[in-house]
Amino acid sequence: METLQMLMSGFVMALSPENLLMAAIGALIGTFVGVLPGLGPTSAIAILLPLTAVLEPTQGIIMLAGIYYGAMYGGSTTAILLNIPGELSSVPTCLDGYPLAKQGKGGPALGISAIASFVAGIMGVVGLVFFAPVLADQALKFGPPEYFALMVLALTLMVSLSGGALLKSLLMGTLGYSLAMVGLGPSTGMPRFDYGFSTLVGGFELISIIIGLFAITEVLKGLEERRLHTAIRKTGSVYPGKEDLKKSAGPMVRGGLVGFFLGLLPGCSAAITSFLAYDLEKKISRRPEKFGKGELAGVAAPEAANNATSSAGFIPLFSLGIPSSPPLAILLAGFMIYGLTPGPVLFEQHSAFVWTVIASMFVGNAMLLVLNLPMVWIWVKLTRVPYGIMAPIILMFCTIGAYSVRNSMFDVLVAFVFGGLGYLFNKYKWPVVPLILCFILGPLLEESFIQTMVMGEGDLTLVLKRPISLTILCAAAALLAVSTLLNRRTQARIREEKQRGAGVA
Amino acid sequence: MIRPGNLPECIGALLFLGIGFLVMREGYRMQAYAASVFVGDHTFPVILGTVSCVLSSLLLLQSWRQPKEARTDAARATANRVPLFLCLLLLLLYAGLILLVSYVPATFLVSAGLFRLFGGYRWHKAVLFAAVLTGCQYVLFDVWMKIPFPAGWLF
Repeated sequence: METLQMLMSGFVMALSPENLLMAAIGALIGTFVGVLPGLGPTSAIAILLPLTAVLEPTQGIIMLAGIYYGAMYGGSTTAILLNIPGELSSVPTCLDGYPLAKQGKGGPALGISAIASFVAGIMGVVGLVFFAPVLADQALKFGPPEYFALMVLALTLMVSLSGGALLKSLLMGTLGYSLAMVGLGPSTGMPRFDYGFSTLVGGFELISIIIGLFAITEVLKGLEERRLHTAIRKTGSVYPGKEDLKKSAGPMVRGGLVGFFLGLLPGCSAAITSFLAYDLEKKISRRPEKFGKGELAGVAAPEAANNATSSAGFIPLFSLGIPSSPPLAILLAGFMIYGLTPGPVLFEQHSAFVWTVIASMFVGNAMLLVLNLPMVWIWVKLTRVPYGIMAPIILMFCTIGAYSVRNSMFDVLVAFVFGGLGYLFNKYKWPVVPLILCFILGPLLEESFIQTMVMGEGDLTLVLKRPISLTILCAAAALLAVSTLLNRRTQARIREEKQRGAGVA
Repeated sequence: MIRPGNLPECIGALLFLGIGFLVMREGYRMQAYAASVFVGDHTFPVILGTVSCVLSSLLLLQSWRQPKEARTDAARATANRVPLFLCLLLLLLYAGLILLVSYVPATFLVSAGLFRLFGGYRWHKAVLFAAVLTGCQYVLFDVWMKIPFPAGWLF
């Protein structure tokens, strides 16, 4: 009951004109960046994150959540119309979405994708309303050993983020932790890794690294690939007919359920759930041979799973501070810019903020549906903006974004250097998300580690002696096994689809 | 001479091995400030450095045994990296120019170069686009958002 009351007060705040405007702007900008070929939700949030820093926390996070949802939707638009999935999770959408577009049914496919995203997004946010406070309430009982165990649990994410290269992923994680240690030591306050340079005492700014690794790298990739604008076929009406809706209702609900419940597990990414939802739909279909040739259920199920997982990902993010996907890791950085640390105390100390953001997710999802369906033509036209104009604009925004956080030219240089490094990482398939994740979690892990060691008088086995931390460690082991298995399966499926000609931007 | 099967991975592993040693060395340096042998600002760097060295050694071994991935057509088509180096050079130049001639002139000069590089526009078009972009950025960030950009050394 209390939860519903809090949600209602959140709605009152979220429906204020300023917050509505922020949600609308976020959804529109997110969709705009998401439809640009090659830019997915992660790059979209990374590019736009510094621009939201000038807003007050609630408005900034509402806008970022809107950008996230918008970019997810925009990504599916390019997946359906251009066969360019912005993220791995959009690959299953391409499988039937693009054949539908080739048959001149791109419009209904986009419509079904938007409706499936909306339905699953709402299912996910309803789950968030009821699950997150319960989880956060339990997490309030956590002490340093439990937090340390929780950070170990977060490390299991490395498996799902590794993209099949676990050793490289772990090494990138250690690099992230090492970068996070530059600056003042938490225990003595003495500078570490500064090598006599005063600028290094302040440590690296997360935003600069994110802008470099995601936004600048993306631009460099575009330059190398000599990206231009892309021609699109006629799409037809975006409003699906009654028959289409009836056929897609079941896949939407099933995809949403698969996406939500698996999405609750840290380490189970949207790519895993969307492939599972697609395969499940194909298995239970009476016409499995139609899949891959333009079946609406093949668009509805993965899109629903994708969005439900995205919404479910907010549950571990809000209640435990664990980001379960790359865009959420960047979003976590957004929280940190505002001095908000997601985790159990967030619900205690900033409850008005949390509930306003949750309520705005309902509003943002509805807004996406209302704004995007009639505007799909504009998005299609925007994909024709020449890359030669977009790229310099993005680079200039990146420079401002990196500079404006601390008004430091050092941060700009860091962004440029990491842009070059990000290009090399991408070229030689070194996953960058573990680096970001460990950079964010590094200080928390070190702090909880030191506190646990002090509590146990140098004995780390204290973690195994407390029931909650032991349970979390067991859960981490179980999750590691499950996500390794699911990840292998997903990688095999991606290889299979790549052989059939579905590429990932 | 015996060459590793996967040279890029081998180089990456060696770099990470170097980073691991650096991190470990910093950990040992920090030990002087710690009150306890096991707990302090040195503990984590020592652990992390060790883990990094072990993992990179494993990758090094793996890179010798692994065959290099076959180059795809796409990879072959993108062999010309001159524009990439030019872009990175322009960006580094931009950082230097901001300090030298302040934000607005630096943005104008570098964005003209970027428009030419990315779009292949003729100079007069690139300069026009750069002027529009610089003007918009000036109004948005300098006038409205009042972001304090560094003053140039020259003016």
